[in-house]
Amino acid sequence: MTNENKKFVVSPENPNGILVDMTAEEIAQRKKDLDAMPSELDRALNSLRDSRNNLLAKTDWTAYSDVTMSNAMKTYRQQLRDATEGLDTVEKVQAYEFPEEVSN
Amino acid sequence: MAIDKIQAESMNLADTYAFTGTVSGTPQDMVQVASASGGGTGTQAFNGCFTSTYRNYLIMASISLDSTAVCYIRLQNSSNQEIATNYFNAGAFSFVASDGNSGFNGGSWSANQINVGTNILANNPHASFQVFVFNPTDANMKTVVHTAYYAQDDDAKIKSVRMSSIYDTNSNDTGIRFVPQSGNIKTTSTFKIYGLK
Repeated sequence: MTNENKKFVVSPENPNGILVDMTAEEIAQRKKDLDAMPSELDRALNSLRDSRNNLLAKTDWTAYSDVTMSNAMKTYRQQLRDATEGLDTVEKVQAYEFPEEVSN
Repeated sequence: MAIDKIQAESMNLADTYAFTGTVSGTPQDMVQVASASGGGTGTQAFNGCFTSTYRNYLIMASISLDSTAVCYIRLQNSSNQEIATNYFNAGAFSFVASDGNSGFNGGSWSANQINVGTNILANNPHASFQVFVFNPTDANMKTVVHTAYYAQDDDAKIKSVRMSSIYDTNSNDTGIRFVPQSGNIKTTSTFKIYGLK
């Protein structure tokens, strides 16, 4: 990544852009940005949570006050909420399979 | 120039003329003020693209990265320094994937950038940014930015974000930059900035 500490600057003086070295402040900010980047594991877990939340949302109606939630649904939703437990490597996240969907 | 003058001087319309006069008339309401391809670097900066000539601006950016990462947007002050503090973001996010659709509201308080919060998958279809910038050069007002964003994320998810952001300081912000959290903006990327009356 040889150009990561350079910036491409477009300006009225250089409308086609020129390659410029970043300032010390910009390099420091760049390092902060990189340090704040989520790890591959965090990214995998976040993606899993997106999918899990999607599955939970599909069954939210079963929690309405005028609906009696079945025990199978209670178990299913709890399994979804617990989906990320023990997933401490990317490989485990990728191998995880959601429980089979329950109709209610 | 009057048509009879053109005819009298036998102006050759296929020729090239050095124009030294003054263009008069009503200016266009929407004018391109900057255009560039990606520079292959970790920052793509547009210095001095915002002036008092236009009140608001539209940026159309099609961005590809060589690394899977979020691409931040940061304003620049009148010294062309990036502003990396005091942004408030609020947005709605949705995605579609093989396992279904989903969406939620999100944002960040006092963040270091305008952040759509989802990765651009490296070397894949370009992310598209449609960015409206309001009142950037009015030092008596805060700059507001509306962003519509679309990209393919990791895990083959197609993500769409619509968000509003404010830089919470009254200031004269004369430029803007696109900053991937890691990696470089590829040269296939394109940027166009239009001034809006």
